[in-house]
Amino acid sequence: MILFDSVTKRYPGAGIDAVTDLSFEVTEGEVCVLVGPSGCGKSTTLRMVNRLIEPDGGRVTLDGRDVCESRVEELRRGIGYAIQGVGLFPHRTVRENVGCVPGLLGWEPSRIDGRVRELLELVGLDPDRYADAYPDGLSGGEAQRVGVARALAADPPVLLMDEPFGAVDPLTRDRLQCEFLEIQRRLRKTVVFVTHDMDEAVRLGDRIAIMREGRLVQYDVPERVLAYPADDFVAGFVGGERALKRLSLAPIAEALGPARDAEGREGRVAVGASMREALARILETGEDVVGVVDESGALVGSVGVADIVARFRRPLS
Amino acid sequence: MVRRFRVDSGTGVALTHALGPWASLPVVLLLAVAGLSLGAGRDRRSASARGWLAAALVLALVALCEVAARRLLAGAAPFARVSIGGGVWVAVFVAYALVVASRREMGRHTPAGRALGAAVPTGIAALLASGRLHDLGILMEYRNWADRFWTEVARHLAYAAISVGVAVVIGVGLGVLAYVSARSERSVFATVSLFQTIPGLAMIGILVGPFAWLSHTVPALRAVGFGGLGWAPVIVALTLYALLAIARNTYAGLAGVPPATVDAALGMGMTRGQVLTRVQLPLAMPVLFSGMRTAAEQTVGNATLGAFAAAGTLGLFVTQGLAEQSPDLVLLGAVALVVLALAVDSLMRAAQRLITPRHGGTEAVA
Repeated sequence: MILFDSVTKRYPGAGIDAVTDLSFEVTEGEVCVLVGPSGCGKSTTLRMVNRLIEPDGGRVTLDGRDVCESRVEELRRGIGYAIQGVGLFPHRTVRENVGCVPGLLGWEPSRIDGRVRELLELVGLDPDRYADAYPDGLSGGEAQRVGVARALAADPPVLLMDEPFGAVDPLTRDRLQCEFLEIQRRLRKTVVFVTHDMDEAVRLGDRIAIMREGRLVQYDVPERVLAYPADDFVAGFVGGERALKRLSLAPIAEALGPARDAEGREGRVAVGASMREALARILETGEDVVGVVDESGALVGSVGVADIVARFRRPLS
Repeated sequence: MVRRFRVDSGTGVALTHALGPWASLPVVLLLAVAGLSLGAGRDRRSASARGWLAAALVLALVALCEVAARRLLAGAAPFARVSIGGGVWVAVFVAYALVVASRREMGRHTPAGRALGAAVPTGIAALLASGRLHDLGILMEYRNWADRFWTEVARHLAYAAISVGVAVVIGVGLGVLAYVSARSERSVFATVSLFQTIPGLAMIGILVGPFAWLSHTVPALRAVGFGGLGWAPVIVALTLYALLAIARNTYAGLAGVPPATVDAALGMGMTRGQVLTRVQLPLAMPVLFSGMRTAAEQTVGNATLGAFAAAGTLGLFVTQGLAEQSPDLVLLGAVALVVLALAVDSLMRAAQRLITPRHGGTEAVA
């Protein structure tokens, strides 16, 4: 869907490239998270997709077409864009903010209005309450939701998100991440997402691109990045608890043991939980096995420390 | 101050001497204001009492000058004049400053504050309308010049309005240019600041030559009154002076727009022009408008330059008064100018409140 082909960018007056010889592809309907320390070139990479920054070498193609061939405004109107600090227009209402791109595309006012209501509901804001509010009356989390709604307004197939949840408190961020995953499950957009937070990357990404000093160091699914970091830099960036992060990605179903093993034990976890949650439960109860229950509360299996260790040892495909 | 005739250098007369028993009124008011300022607390009620007493003092001083004038002129020659002396002007000024200060304490835009603000202008207007200031020298001068006076007021305002209008168009353009192109920023501000350093008379002097030549070579220009003297050099000079405040505030307003907002606007596919007209300029408006206000106030004062280019304006009365050594005529021009400046100021403030959006906008600086 989005293809970077030997892309290089050097800012005027800078001694080194911001991005060097970058090649990778973002698959349609997937969330690709660009992650790395400050100044690694991740924002530059994202901004070359909608040509807020023009590459010096190589090319970026969208659906097989070089982005530089399109008229720049048309290209951008077809790509959702959400950024840190949101960048809502403070002199416009929520309705006008969300309806901005449809307005630029010349939609009928009634169609824009319907679309605005639909989107506000999608991001969990009551249209009757929020449509005519101004951004200065919104909380940080509400403003971020409006920012996401605005990016989705014209139903673009591609979404660029530059640290969209960077400026809110951890609790709100957690909620926004949940809602984002929920929305993404329904809409299946192709998303390029920039963050410097590895936990966020692991949680949201279908694929993670780890960047360092303008180069792509590793590009893989989160489990493999955690299990097989490409080098010491990635291992360091991923952090000492990468085993636990991996567990949080592994569903319990992959290590399910027979239900009878859990008889007489008091610990229980839901069948949809991750192995990390199962391990936490095991540590809390002090027993080496916990029971697994379905939605109705019936015991359907068990998970023990040995199962988790065995699952962890098995190489990833 | 009594003058035996219009341009006499005059003899000073103390207000107490001229007024007799009436003289105690301003003294009592003054003591009351002073007592309130020292004794009472800093709450709104005492501010209101102080303000109204000060307003009464202003009006009493003006009205009593007329009483004094009538007493002094009784039995004098018909050419005799009574002018308000320096001491009284200072007292009026100080009392009026007290009114303004009290109004600020009460809150400028509360109903009580507005009422106090209107008290002095209304009182003076009522005194003028009732003919009670008839015998003061400044009004005698006004009667001599009545027709000319209103023509010059209108001309003064017209020059100022046209100049500010033109300066807004050019100044906003220059401010945008300076903001958009870092290369032109220095030269734009160097140029408009340079205009500011040229004294008014010199500016007219510089323009007279080329303008005279232009009107000589292009007869069409001469036909509309364009020439080395007259409206042309005045309006051009006033426009050049007004550019700095407008260009500078346009630039400051644009620079104050949050970068994330501009980034989002561009990223969503607005053209450069749309970003400027739909996002940057609306958000810069409060700062930009405060620049226009500064420019308007400055221009109303500067428009007296017209007198040096044979183009009239209120400056005419000042220069004419100086030439004739008639202090009352100088005062007529000066007082009218002060009143005009105050009126323009409150008009622009009101407009600013109307135009400033409730939401967003960069912080106004002045």
